[in-house]
Amino acid sequence: MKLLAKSNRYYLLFTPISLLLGSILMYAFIDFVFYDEIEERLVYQKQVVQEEIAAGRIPGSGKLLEVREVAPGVSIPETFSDTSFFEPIEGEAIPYRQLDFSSIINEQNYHITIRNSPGELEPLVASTALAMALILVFILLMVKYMTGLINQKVWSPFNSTLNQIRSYDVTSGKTLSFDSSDIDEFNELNQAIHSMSERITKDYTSLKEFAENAAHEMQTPLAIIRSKLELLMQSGELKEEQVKLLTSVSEASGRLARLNQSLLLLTKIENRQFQENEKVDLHRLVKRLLEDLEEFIAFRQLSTELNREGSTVLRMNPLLAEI
Amino acid sequence: MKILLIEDEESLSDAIRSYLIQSDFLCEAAATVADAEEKIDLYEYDVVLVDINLPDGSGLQLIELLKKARSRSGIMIISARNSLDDKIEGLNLGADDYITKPFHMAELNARIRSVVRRRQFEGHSEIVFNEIRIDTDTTDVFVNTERVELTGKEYKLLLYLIANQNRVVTKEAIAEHLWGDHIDMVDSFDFIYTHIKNMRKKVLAKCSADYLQTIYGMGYKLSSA
Repeated sequence: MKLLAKSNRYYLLFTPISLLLGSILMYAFIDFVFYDEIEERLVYQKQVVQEEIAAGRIPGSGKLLEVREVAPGVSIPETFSDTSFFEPIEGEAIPYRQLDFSSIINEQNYHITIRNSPGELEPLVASTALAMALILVFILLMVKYMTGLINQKVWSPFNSTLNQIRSYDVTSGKTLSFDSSDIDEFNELNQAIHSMSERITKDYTSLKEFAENAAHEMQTPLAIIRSKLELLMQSGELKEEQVKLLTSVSEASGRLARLNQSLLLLTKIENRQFQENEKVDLHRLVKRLLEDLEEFIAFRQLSTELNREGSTVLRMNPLLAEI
Repeated sequence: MKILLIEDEESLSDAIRSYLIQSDFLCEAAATVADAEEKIDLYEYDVVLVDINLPDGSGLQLIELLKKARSRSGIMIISARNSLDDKIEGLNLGADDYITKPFHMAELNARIRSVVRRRQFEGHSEIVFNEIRIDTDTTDVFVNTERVELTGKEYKLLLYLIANQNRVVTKEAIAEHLWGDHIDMVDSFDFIYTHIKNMRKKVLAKCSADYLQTIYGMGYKLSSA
């Protein structure tokens, strides 16, 4: 999974949750502002009603205003409360906010109730939800578009670094170098890879040199041992005991020489120093090798059979093909 | 026949020189490029043996020098580096053969003789060993006047033994000469006994004496007398 897809997945998971929480908060906030507004209005109306009564015009009672005369001792503190009335036209109950208070005007005690409706809440909820849904869709579309854009723009230095590492060849002796990007993290990565490739190249070269030196340093003493042994063998008049010793020393030096050859070959293969490729006919090669080795095969009393006729041609290194 | 050996490792140089002198060559040694240049200037050699890695330069530049001087010497590279590049470069410069250290003295001897043959007789050459006569051009082998049919390996073996006549040739050296690199798969060289036996039957049985001596435990020796 791509890093962006992964981070997008979390993003997409948390966006609806936060939007949901956001809508609840927003609803609560709008609700609060509405109530606040209505209460302010109720308080303003309270003043108007008091002035009207003082002026001797006692307003008629209705759904929005109730004025009752009460005994002088009754005192009702100013209280807000919720209520609802059935609205025949709408066919449902409508919520109201009401303010109760008592007021003595012209030596008459009144219990006054003023009501006001904040209107229906459902349209508010619905429009909030719709707005949030639109925002969500917009965010999703943006995320999708941005992913493509980010992939192209922001990650392009990373991708070019990746491509360079993929095509990196130690045997070429070149170190990796990158264009600097304006993103610090990628620059740091490139810097680290660059110094790593430098180190690898250096190690590789010194290893190669070591292998070459080892060849020279070991082959010459081996050649000396061998040549002196052969001189010794020519000296004649050797006792049987001496011949036996000489033979086993000579055989051991031969084994050592062949071992050294094999080790050098392995180092060369591991260093990928066999880069030349050409077409090799495997069928012909196997046939030739079998002819070369027929004495060994016969000596061991083995038998071989070559089943396939024709030719199989592969592109490979001719020297390695023989091994 | 005169040979110039250019090899910086004194101990190896001494050993090769004594072996070649024992094989009836005249052999001089040089240890550096400068030393060798001087000798090449002054004398004519039949074969020059060159080590590639020399303290004051590369053996390859000596080959170039010899070629520029249109020397008739055969050139053979002795190198510790079994590297294909060196081999190709050396042979391209005009070297006749390439031998990798460590080698058997018998192998070196046989190769030198082959180089000399190719140089001096342009391949047309006859090798005579008592009653045995070998035409190296057609690879025909005759005992007295009778033609003997030999397999490729037997022919190579006979040539090798004649090149190293009067000295002990180990089984290992014979095996390496005949089978080259494949030899590292083998842990015993006894299988060459079959070839020796066939050779005895086909060639040596027709001669007046058995020239091939088995040296117990070591190998074989072809004596001329």
